[in-house]
Amino acid sequence: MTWPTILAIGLATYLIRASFLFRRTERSGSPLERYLRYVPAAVLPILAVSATTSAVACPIETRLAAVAVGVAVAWKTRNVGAVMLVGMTVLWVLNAWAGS
Amino acid sequence: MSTAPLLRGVVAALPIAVSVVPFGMAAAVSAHQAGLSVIGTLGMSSVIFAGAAQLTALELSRMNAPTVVIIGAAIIVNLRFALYSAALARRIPDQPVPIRAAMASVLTDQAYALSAADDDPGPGHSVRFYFGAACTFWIAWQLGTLLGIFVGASVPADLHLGFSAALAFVALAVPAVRTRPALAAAVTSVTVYFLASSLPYGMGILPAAISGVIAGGLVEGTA
Repeated sequence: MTWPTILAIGLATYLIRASFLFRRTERSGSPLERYLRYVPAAVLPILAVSATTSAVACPIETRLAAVAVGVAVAWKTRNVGAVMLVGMTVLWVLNAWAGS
Repeated sequence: MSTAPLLRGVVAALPIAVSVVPFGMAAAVSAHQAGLSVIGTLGMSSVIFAGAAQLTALELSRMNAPTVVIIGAAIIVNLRFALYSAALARRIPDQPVPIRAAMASVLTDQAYALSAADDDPGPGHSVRFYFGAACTFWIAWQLGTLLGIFVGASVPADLHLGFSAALAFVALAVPAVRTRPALAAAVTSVTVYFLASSLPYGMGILPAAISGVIAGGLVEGTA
């Protein structure tokens, strides 16, 4: 991949990031706001799913178990560090157990 | 001017930043495999600063795809940032253009997710919280890139450190899905994402996200 390609992607990415931040803000109560409120609910689960399915070096069963425990910990604590720590521990223990 | 919101942003970002580092390492290792120099790899992580797009572009580059396809694919993968940009703009009605320009330059999935979940609406607070979090992720990403360049292959693969990114997103996603319309948004987007899984290189994210957002708004309208 060449520098012109890197710079072109970088510039395009910046323009996308800046797009709406450079517009005068919608007033509260605009119809658009009702939809934008659901951006996190729509996008974050997809990012979780895609990061889970793409980690192919690890057996799918242990990944799903780690995610299931992670969901439970997140539901109870809303603590990101706790979710990651407990989830990774589940992953390592199950992998070690499956590998032996 | 209080620095407390800035520090709160840094502290909230730290555990997630731990998952950003292996992601940055993966991007650097992938760049090396695609034949990029050390300077090219560092340049990519600082100029593009978007993991999914970098990995997509590198994968296509390794397959000798035409330049226009590489750039187009990276753009499609990054179009989700326009949604974040729109949602973020609502929270900062009075910020001047230089601040908005700086916010855009460090906008990532993680920075958006954290600031969306932060409910301290003090004047200017959300901007400082955002910068605290977003700059922490920027540092973690560049650190990951450096580690990938210099120690990349020597980290034991058995640790599956890259999987911690999945758990970080799980931790952010669960609290975002606590109301009925939010649940509708999540179920719709994940369903469309799976239906679109035949699209190459994560490009299903965009149609999935848009249909989820529409579903959430529609269900709220019927409540």
